[in-house]
Amino acid sequence: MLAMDWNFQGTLDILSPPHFPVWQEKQIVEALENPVDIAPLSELAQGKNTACIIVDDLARPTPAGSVIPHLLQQMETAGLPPERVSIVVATGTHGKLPDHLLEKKVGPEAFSRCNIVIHDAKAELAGTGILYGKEELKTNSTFWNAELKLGIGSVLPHSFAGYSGGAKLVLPGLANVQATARSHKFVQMGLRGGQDPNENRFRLEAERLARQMGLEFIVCVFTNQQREITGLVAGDLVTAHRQACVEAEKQFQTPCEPPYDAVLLNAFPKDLDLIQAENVFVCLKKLTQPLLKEDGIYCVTCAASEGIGHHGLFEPGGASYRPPQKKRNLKGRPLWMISPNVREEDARKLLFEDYPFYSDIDQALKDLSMILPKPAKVAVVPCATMQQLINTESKK
Amino acid sequence: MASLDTSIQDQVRQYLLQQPLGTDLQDLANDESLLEAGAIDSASMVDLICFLESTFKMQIEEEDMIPENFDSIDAIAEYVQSKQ
Repeated sequence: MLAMDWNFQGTLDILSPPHFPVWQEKQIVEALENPVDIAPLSELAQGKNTACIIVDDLARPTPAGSVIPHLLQQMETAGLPPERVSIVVATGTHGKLPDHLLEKKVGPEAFSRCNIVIHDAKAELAGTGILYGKEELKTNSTFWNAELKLGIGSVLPHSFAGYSGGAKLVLPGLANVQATARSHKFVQMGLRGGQDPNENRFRLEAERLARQMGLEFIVCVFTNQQREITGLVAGDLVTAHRQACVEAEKQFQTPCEPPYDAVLLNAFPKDLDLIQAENVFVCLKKLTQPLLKEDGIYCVTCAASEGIGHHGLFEPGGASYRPPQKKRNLKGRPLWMISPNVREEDARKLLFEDYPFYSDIDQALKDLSMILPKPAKVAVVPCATMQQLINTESKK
Repeated sequence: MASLDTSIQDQVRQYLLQQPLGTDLQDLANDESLLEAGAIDSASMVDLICFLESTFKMQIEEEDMIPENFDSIDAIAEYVQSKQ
């Protein structure tokens, strides 16, 4: 998360997400023991020799380490000890995780007792016999070979899946590069998408395929700005995710009063690397009127502690990489990129040449103050990659 | 694959060349990915589908809306031809 100190003349709206109380451990346990539309894990695990828990990677805020010990305990009660449980990090085509971050993600108990696997989309993967387009869908072999398959993921607004989590952990999370490229292509070509998970064809297809591959039990998590759990739904692959989407709408909906002269969209929680900063624009999807005035300015801030990051498809050299262009969805408005941990020459691999880049946030704000009208109306969206802005009058 | 109708290829090419894409498509090969060449994106895809439906008097069904049918001039020509 970035901090800033900014004095300027006008109104500053900090559009924080609504406050939800942090869940206590007993609430987490209760939700896990009472899954939606599926038997409890302590029953599902009976008679099983192996299990696999899929977790999303650090590009997502899921505190998997707060959930996994309870899942392990339930499975152990059923006779399936942690030593026969694998945890597979569904990196999709993102980069690998170093060990210290891996332990942070899954928690110390799982890290020491379970078999931990980081998915590698380019490695030799298991054939599923399922046709995806013209080719066989391949998946992570540890996942494929496990007798019991579970998944943990954050349910956040997502640019093409409607919401993240659920079946998306498997496709694209554990798929081969070709399948991932095809799934993204649908969206890039506008052939999928939409926020409603019951209408989103990307989501529906991923669910069909994930079920065919045996993913049964999912855990959907919501977090606040401190990455603490503020809600959790466990249960069936589809029905638990649907319930989670309804909750996500409540947790992330943020009223605002546009139009603004400038808006600062901060990429938290997907701010580990610059390549994910693009996801800030997901917060604009539900607005019924433009967030900015005609001559308004979009500023994207991204901590990018891991630099520009990796994405096997969209990084330079990736199958879906294209030289940066002007963003059509901004309708000609300028975009300023502010990222203190990235060099401009690296940022330019992702950022259109006409869009200003700053690694010094103070300088960016100073320059912005100079060109804003006086008084100006400015908004800050602190967690733009998980918030859903709505116009004040459309608040339910 | 049956030989492709070059008039379909030509009409699709002409259509793409007329679009304000900010990308030079003069040298675009018929089998080249339109997506990777920057010739289509999610916004322009709707227009392309409308163009195909009106020009070739066809209805593009939802189940046909897959990348394999639209990601090159050849793919579009083959798809259109299969529907005629």
